Amino acid sequence: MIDEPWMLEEIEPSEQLDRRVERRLRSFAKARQPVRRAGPSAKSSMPACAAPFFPCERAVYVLLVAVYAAYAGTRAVQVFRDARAGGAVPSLASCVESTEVDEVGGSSAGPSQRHEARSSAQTSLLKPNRGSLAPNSSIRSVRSS
Amino acid sequence: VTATMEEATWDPVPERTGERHSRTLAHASDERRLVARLRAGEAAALDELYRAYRKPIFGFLVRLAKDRHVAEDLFQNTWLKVSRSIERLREDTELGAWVFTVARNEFRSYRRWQLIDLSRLFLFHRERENVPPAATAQSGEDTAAAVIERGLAALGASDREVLLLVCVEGMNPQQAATVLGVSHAALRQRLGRARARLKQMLTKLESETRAEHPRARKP
Repeated sequence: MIDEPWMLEEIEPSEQLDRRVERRLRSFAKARQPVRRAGPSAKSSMPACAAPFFPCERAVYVLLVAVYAAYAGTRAVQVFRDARAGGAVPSLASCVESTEVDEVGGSSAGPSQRHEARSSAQTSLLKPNRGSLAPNSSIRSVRSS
Repeated sequence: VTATMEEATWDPVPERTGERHSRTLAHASDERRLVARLRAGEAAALDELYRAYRKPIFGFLVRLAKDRHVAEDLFQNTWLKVSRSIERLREDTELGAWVFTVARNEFRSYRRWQLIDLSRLFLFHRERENVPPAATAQSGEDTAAAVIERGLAALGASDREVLLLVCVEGMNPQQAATVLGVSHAALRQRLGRARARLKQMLTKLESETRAEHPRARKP
């Protein structure tokens, strides 16, 4: 009498769900088997390898990395060549040289004055740009002095 | 129905192994053998475990979650977790209690996320619509089982799980206490409270049914 009311209807999972779960269990068991066959010590030595997202996944990754490395290399060489041909540092140096020549040539300055002018020009060039000053502002200050 | 409920509701904690649960694995020795095979990583043993517990676990989850789609997700996750933790099984593991514990933990974790996920607040009303199939039979010819299904569906999750384990799945108190993670005394207390609530609920449902179909009970 007690059992009777409690014998509720058994609810079965659908066939589709059954198949899905069974497939997962089987794939899990299959993935675990090689590790077991190799023994307990092999578990730590064998790298865990995830299933690939698409076929020839590794080859595609290697190709992509190679292409990117080639591109990065050529780009770096190109940038370096451009910098050497007409970069910012040589042009500034030439500006300093020209201001120095103007000043020295225009007046009858002594060697100490020349040294002062050169050192002030160098220090002004080495200072970082303040606020919204134009890149040539330091050269102008050299000229005015 | 009320007479049978009276007996069933006030029945002390049954010291029996229910038919349904005992049907899954016949003997303790079979269970020990299966545990050993599972620990050895035998694929067929995992299949056997699945075939033995697929129905009770799915029924348990459907009745707990009150939604078949949610129960299907929880069912899949349960078996994934079972397959992942098989290597850590102890030799003396009671497989039934263990699989039910995994399923219950899955449900608890789902409930926790459900509380956090605000979007689900708007779907709460759907729970009432997605009650188990037997609970939807609301004709005048309601069977006792259908009335119990409706009563169970109306209870809270904590009451429902203890009744499902002990009264529906027929677990013994020791196993049920293991699944719920409580002591034997706490289980008795919870079971007593759940039965009292179910009794109230069934009385209410029965009076409602009588009011709706006054001639249904008459021969």
